[in-house]
Amino acid sequence: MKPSVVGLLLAVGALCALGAVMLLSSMVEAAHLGRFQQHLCWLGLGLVGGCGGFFLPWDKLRQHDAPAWLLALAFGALFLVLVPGVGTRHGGARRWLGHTQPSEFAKIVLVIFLADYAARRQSAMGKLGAGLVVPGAIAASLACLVVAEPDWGTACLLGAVALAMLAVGGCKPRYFVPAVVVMAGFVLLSIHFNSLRAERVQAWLHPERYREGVGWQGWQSILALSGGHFFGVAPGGGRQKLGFVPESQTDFILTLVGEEMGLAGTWSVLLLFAVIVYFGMKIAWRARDPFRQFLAFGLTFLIGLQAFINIAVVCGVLPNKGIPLPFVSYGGSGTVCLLVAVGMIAGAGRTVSAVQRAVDEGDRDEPA
Amino acid sequence: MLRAGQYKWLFFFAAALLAGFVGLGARCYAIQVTRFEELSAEGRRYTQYHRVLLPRRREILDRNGLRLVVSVPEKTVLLDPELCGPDVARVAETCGRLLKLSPAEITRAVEAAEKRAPGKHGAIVIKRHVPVAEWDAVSSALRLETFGLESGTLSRRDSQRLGAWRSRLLWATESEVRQYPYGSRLAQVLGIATPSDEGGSLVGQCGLELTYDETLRGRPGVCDSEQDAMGIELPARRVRYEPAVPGKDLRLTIDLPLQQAVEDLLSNTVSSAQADGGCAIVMDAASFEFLAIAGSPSFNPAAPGGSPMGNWSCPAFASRVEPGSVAKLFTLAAGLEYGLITLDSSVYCEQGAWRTGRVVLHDHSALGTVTFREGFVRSSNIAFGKLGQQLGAARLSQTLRSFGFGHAPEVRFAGAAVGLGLSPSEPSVEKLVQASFGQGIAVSPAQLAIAACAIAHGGTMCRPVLAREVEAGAGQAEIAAAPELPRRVISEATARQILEACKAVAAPGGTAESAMSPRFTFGAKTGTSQKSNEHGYRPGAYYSTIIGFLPADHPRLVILAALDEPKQGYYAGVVVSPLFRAIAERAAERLGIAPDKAPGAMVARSRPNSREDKP
Repeated sequence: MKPSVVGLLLAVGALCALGAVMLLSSMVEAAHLGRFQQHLCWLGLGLVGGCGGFFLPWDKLRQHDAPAWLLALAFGALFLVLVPGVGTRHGGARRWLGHTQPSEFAKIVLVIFLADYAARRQSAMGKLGAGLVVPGAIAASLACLVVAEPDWGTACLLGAVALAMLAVGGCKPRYFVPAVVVMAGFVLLSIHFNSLRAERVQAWLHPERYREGVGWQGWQSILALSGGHFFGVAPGGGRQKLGFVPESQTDFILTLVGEEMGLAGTWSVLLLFAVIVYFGMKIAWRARDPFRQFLAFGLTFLIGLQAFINIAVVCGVLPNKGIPLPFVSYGGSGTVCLLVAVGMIAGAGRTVSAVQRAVDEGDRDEPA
Repeated sequence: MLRAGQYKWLFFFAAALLAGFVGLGARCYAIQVTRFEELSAEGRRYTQYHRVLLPRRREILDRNGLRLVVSVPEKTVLLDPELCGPDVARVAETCGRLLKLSPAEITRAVEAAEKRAPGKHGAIVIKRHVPVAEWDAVSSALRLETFGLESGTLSRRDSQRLGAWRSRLLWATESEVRQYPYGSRLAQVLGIATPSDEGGSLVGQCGLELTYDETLRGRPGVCDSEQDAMGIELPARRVRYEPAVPGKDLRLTIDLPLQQAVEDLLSNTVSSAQADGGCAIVMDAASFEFLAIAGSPSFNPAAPGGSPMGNWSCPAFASRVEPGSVAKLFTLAAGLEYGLITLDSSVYCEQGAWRTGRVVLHDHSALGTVTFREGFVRSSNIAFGKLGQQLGAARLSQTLRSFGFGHAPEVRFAGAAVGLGLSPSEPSVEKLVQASFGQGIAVSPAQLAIAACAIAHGGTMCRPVLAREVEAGAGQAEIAAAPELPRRVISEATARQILEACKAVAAPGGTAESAMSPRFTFGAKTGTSQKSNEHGYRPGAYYSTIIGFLPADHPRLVILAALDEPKQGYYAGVVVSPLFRAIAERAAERLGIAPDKAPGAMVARSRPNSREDKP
């Protein structure tokens, strides 16, 4: 295997291990131990899924329009979630189908679809319609379904990933820069007209004023981080997980890392994500065809951006979004989907045998 | 392969992400290292758990073990106004329902707090004196409370607020309150204990609660630890734990049934004589124990604010009065002890008016030459003035001092009056002469009763007892019975002669004739002193006192009764002697003292006027 694939997999493995350890550390009662076992199960499932992603025969799948079918499936699932009685409510939002979040699945599917789309239409991507309007509309309608849940964090993530993929896919800057501006304006308006989001932004701008209200989580997470100093208070010794930081096992798992392992912990996490981004991008750079390049880029960017947003929220740099930290946070479908994604990135960078290469060369006769 | 422009974009996004991670790394460094001191101190503010562990204030019991004062734990309920936000009405409605308060009241309190310190985190007290069980019920109900929000359709924001309200809106601090199972009985002796300004433990304000404050309070403990977000302490992370040391119970020598009877008799007499007040003391002559100490007007210790503060002090200990003719007991004791006179020595009483120095003394009835016994029985100022002159200031003041006048009483009682004795080098003859019949000196009723106890105890003074510190649950056996620190004041023979003279006072022809009982022989001495202010004696304002012994020959009880400014008659023989007799009979009955007279043996007598001295 190529060194970049090995590096990528090692970094992901290290983050998964860290996540499991932190989850164990966050359990203050033995009754929570079931969650740990559950998490291990999800990781195992993710490992299997990742292997599957690694060996996916993309060329055959693309011949049968699998990316489009997957997109249709994602739309269907996101519709289903919104149906009362089918989707499960939790904390004021309808995001779950059983124990899975379709929006996690949709993120990966959108990347696959856009990679396929851009790879097929390389020559047409410079045009406004094919390069921006059509894929943009598809991505936007997917994002709208996610917004309806509501899950603004994931919707923003989808939008950002779609735009980045279109940029790399060949869309001209003079088309998509206005799109970025329109999207930013839309986000600002939505903040303005939604009191909860406005309050969250206010709490982010003035943490000391909202300490006891909506800013509680952000403020407590900064306090928890600060307790770690250089090397932390030793695993298990953290205080903030005792109810001070809500959702300390999921979105705010990094506070626990920061408190119990200190700066060493947070920097390690950042470094591991940097390693993932570096090797992921390297794979994208060197992959053997545009589809695999776009796929590796899109998925790497997705993972990197999600990590960036999560850590930025925990550090109080961005307002609270409700996005988990890839591989580290507790969470079933998200972990599995991201591990599958890692498998796909690694798959895009795998060395191919001469025979396979010959077969691929043969495939490449058709116009891209 | 992609075009060069596409690779540029790929590089751009990769570089942007990596730059973002570097930025976050710097941010983490700023939080975790640069601002470590400041932020971690702030974080500790939330996790720090510091509690002063207050021992329950101990009880005060009477000599039979009846609980006169007990402490009951209760809660003070606080509310965090900051959590209300714009929903004050909703919060007030629910809290009002849970705590049985009017929502308007809560709204007002929250708004007032907001006005005082806008946007500040703090707590307001919304209800005090909440029984522990009631608070437990309220806090459990709060955990399930919906605050009128429909739980099926909650927005994320509402469910967050609901969670915060359920867990952090209300909380309670520990406190305790004193309860008085016998109402206002013995209130002035017990005193009151109120919460200190810092909250928490009760602090004695007056009476025995103040005198034995440290004993009753015990020593608070401390617990330094960490807490979780709900404020629950984490025992595994304790850094310091010193348990509270409970104090000791106070076992009084007071006999509650007798106390009750004395209080009722006193207040009846105070109202029938239209007096400003009064006090009564019953002491055990053998053990120097106070059996009853009553004062009037009294107050309700459960609601002390309902009475003027003057009523809170115990007149038996706190009031300073001229003893008047009662002091003749001790002048007589000095004369007999120094061998200057016997009861049968004669003295010329100047037919009722005697000039000494610049003053002219008067007796209320003109006497010629009489024995000291008769001078005592008829309370002649001139006879005792002459005796005082004969004794001299040094010997008289020495005797008064050894009886306990002019210095603080040996019984511990906060605010007990010291009084004013006679200087041993008093140069003024007038003052010496006046002091010998109780003018110009000041004593408290308790000092008088204790001194009389020494006479009744055969001339030996012991340490008077009102309260003993006992471990909780101590039995009767642990309560010392033998009087402490015996000290001879006068000889036994002198004491016997004084008692003999007193017996004649409470007999036909004596000033305490109206104290005579068909069943008991009493010894007594009355005194009626004029009250003074800074301008001198106030006309018509008298303090009438009687000290009596029961039974007369070998007294077991010393009883003092006094009225302050009675309006219906003022001679002690008229106004307080019947009170003394009533108390003595009740005390004898309560303590099982057998009558020493055959029924009907008393010779019925009537005299137009009771004999009494005039100040």
